[in-house]
Amino acid sequence: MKAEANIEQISRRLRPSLVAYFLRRVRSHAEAEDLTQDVLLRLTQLDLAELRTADAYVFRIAANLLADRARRNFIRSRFASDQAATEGFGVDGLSPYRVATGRRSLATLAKRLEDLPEKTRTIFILHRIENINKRALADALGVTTKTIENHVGRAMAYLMLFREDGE
Amino acid sequence: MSTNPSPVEYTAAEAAGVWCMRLSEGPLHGEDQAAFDRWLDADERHRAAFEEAVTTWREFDGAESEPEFLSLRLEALQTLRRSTRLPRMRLSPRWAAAAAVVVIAIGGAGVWLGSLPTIYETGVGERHVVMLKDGSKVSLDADTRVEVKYSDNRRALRLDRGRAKFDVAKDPLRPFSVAAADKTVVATGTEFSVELLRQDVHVILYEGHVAVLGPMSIAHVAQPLHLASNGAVPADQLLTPGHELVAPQATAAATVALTDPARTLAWEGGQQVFVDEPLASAVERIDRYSDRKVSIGDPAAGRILITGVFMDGDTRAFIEGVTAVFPVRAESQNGQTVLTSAPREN
Repeated sequence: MKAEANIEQISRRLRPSLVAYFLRRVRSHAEAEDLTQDVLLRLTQLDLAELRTADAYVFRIAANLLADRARRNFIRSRFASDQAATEGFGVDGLSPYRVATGRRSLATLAKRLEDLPEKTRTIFILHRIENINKRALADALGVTTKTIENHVGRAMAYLMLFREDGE
Repeated sequence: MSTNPSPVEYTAAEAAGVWCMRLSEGPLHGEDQAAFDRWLDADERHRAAFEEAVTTWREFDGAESEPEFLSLRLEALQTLRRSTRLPRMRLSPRWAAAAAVVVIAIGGAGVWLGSLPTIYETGVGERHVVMLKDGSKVSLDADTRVEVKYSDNRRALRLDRGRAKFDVAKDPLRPFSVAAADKTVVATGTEFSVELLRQDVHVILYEGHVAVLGPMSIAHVAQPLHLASNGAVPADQLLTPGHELVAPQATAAATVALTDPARTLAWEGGQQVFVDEPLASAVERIDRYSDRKVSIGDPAAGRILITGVFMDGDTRAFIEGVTAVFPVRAESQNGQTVLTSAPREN
């Protein structure tokens, strides 16, 4: 895989994982969102062209931010050590390692996509693989952004269905 | 954004998918952020659904370079192209970014780029299979660069370095040609590989027939290569399936010999198989797979014929194997391993 020179691409790929990662450890979505933005901001300071894959760095930064936050919280209130911040570190459900092992093959996913109605499949591929955002897609296809969301939501639900079967 | 996925309209999984999509496009603000929190808290199953959605999202990482996705992507991009009315297209910065993505993606599938060649490149240790617009398939070995330029009446490719195998879709009206150094291989519907190795061009034919042409003459006509042993016989006449043609640069002569198709295709399966291979060309091939470079210290070492099977990227095993069996010594110099000839110890 070529190095991703574009922070935009990395963000598209990893933002939802990062939000989920932080949501497991902090109380509010607002805080998870702030931490996610912080990670992506730090990523812009790295020379991305030198990274073969950004994933490991992204989750390393995320873990460090959590550790910093836990330290600050500890100083603020001695007794409330934030277990959540450090537990499961390194074997987190969304660490690159877990994703690599629990992952279905891309060939399997391609087959699943073929089951979908053409329009749903097309919109999902353009959004997820070609990285075209929903506003641009809606403009190009002459539909509302709501329609784009409906199709992506349906495609995602269908693909998740097969995950549960332990395929 | 005024509309939010609500439990009434969406199943938990669909809503999770939509939230995942929204989060991928950037931070949620204001009402959206509050709505996301409400949705997460509304039902304990929502959190699990969200985790599932995020995992599913990540499963598509790297899909853009998978051969399985090429036809799906091509289809989706063609649909996009058909439904986009160019004259009325708004050129907002957002759209321009999307358009740039589309052009790159289309380039990735080898389509419609008019006069601009599309370049496919692999780094050290990488391999890549590209499906071209006409159904032809190009399989790139490590450290290889291929330029593809399609027009209405020709399919012109150039191998700049490395090795690639070509499965050519039949299209007699559009000849398929691969240029390498000053040689050109022309095919109509066939399977062959071209490799640049130590300034020589190697062509192996697996199926069908190809013509191999030398440099352009003064009259701008490329002449078929002739046999080194007999100047009157065109070399490609002997190049039948299962044979390999080797043409040094800057001459119009070539040699043709029988080869083992399974052995020569081992690189596609991640192995290097050498049978009586000069050490110099074995080293050049091994170097395609690792940043730990090996070089040849003296010409005598380069001429030693070696035999062995090695896994790609396992340079250490290659060095150990070669030095154990053949009269070669390995030394580290400036982060490189240099192989020099050594008298056999008795």
